[in-house]
Amino acid sequence: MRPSHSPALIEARVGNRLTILLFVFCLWAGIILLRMAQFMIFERDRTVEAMEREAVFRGFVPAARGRILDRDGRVLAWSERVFSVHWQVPRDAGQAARERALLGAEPWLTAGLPEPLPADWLGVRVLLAQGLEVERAVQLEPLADALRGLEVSAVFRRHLAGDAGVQALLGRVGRAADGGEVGLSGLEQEHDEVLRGRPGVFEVMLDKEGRWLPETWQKVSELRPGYDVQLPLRVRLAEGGPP
Amino acid sequence: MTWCWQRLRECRSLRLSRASAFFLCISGWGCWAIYNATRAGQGGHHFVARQVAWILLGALALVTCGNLPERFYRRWLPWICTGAYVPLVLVLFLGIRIHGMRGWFAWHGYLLQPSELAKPAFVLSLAWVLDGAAAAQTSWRRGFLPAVGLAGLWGLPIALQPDFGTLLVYLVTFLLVYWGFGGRLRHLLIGLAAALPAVGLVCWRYPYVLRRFVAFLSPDALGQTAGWHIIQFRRTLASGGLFGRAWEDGLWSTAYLPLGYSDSVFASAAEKIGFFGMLPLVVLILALVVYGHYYACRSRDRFRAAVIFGMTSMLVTQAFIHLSVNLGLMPPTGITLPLISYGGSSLMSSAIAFGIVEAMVHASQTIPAGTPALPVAQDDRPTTEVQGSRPVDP
Repeated sequence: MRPSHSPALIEARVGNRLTILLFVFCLWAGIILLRMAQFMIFERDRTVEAMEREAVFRGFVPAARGRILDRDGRVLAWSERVFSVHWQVPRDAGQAARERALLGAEPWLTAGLPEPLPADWLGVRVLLAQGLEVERAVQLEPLADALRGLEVSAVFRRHLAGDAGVQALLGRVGRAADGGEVGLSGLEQEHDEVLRGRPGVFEVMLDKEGRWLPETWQKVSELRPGYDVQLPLRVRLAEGGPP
Repeated sequence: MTWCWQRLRECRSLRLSRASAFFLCISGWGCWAIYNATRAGQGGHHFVARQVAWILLGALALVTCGNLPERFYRRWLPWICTGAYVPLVLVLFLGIRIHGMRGWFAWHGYLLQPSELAKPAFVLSLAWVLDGAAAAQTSWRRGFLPAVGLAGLWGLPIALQPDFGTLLVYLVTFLLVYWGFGGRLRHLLIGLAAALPAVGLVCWRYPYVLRRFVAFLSPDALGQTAGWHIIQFRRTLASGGLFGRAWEDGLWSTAYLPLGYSDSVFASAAEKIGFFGMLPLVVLILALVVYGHYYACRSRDRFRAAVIFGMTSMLVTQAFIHLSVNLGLMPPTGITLPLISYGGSSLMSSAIAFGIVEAMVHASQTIPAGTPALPVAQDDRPTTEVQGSRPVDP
């Protein structure tokens, strides 16, 4: 018998072994294809559902509350749209410092921010300003385009006309979970169904920092503003009225 | 028409053939994948412009290496290896540290990774050692120790960087080529067992390695820490589905997947073109193994066969490790997909490897007829022959 150390036999063995290795590579490729199929076909729906649960933000666009008018059409209660500005502070301290420097273009926005930012502020959503008029909010548009973490959102502020007696009759409103206004007392509460609109619903994907990806924004349902209510009584107004 | 045909013939004479076409097609496709993975970032066209420049340089390197005669590689092997090894050591002292790894030379914003460029030299030297020890391949002292010593010599500076992903490619290539060219499995197993304390030392010295292993075993439990990458790979692939989300619509890879243009390029591209889009890529990688196997088995020279098989299996091993990491079949490690991922060093290394394979294939084909080819399997029969004499067919 020729011993297995003989050079001639080794050369024959090489061909054999290379063929075995070829099959090993084929097997590896087969496992890769099966794994691809597992993630991209068989388990896809379950994974996408988990992704949407964690990374898709469902928000509301508050609807304007209807006005309350007296029998002559004088406006007794109306809502004004005002804006809040939030900043999603990046988790990375360097990125946060860079974004803060960008925010410095509007010094009144950063006036309340500590310098430097404390570590526990990283990754947190900070309220920079609220109750801004439309004109002021429009000024922030270029900054919001450049800074993904800056969010300008609208809320409504309710105004009541007349003296204390009239205002007590009209009642109060509070903030609903969807960002709209809800009647808490008086006529506001009595006619809440009519005055209150239906908020619009949207979905947007968040990135790993929790910031919106604007290109993913999509409307889920249309908003419907509230209806006006005209009272069968005449109110004498000494001062105040809708702007 | 005649003019075109003459130009084509000239191209053939330059051996701008299958390997070159393969290189240009795949790397061109990779450019498109890089462009789509990076266009949303701050870089704009930065990455793709650099990659195009590297592809042109790579094509030049491929044609040059492909046209050098085989004897050039044999004669200049010590210098080639020295030229590749010295930067590998120098980078430990002069290189810059990125992600905790001192593996790059930086020059005016350009990075060079010696461990990538050294891969073809490693395979050449391994083939030379295996060729030299052909008669004693199964010997522990004259077959295994020189080969494992050589692998250790190349692997040591890479381990010191530390770049365990690249080290894994070197190790697997060594195992495949050594065993494929007659090495004993028992020796390999003893060698691997002897290396276990080193693995323990690595886990102790670099705890993130152990954390990645643990996260690989239970990614969902560590989804916010060490398992985060694995979860994002899975979700990016799921987002792609069967047909993908179209090139411009890779949201998950843009927002969540890190390094979608290099270490995660497979998952990033899979989100855009889906399962059916990525299928041809896997088939192409497999075709490269078949190509290497075909020409290695038909080579009449052991050195040539080892170089052809070593280079192709190294590229395919790296590609499959990249795919396996992206598919959660292996713990996360930073490995590029050859020819597709962004990175000049990786691209140049692959181009040089393709060129050398071309040169070896050409040398195999120009040997005069009548010289016996490396036998394939069928001759592996027991023969009755006296030791030391020439084998005789029964």
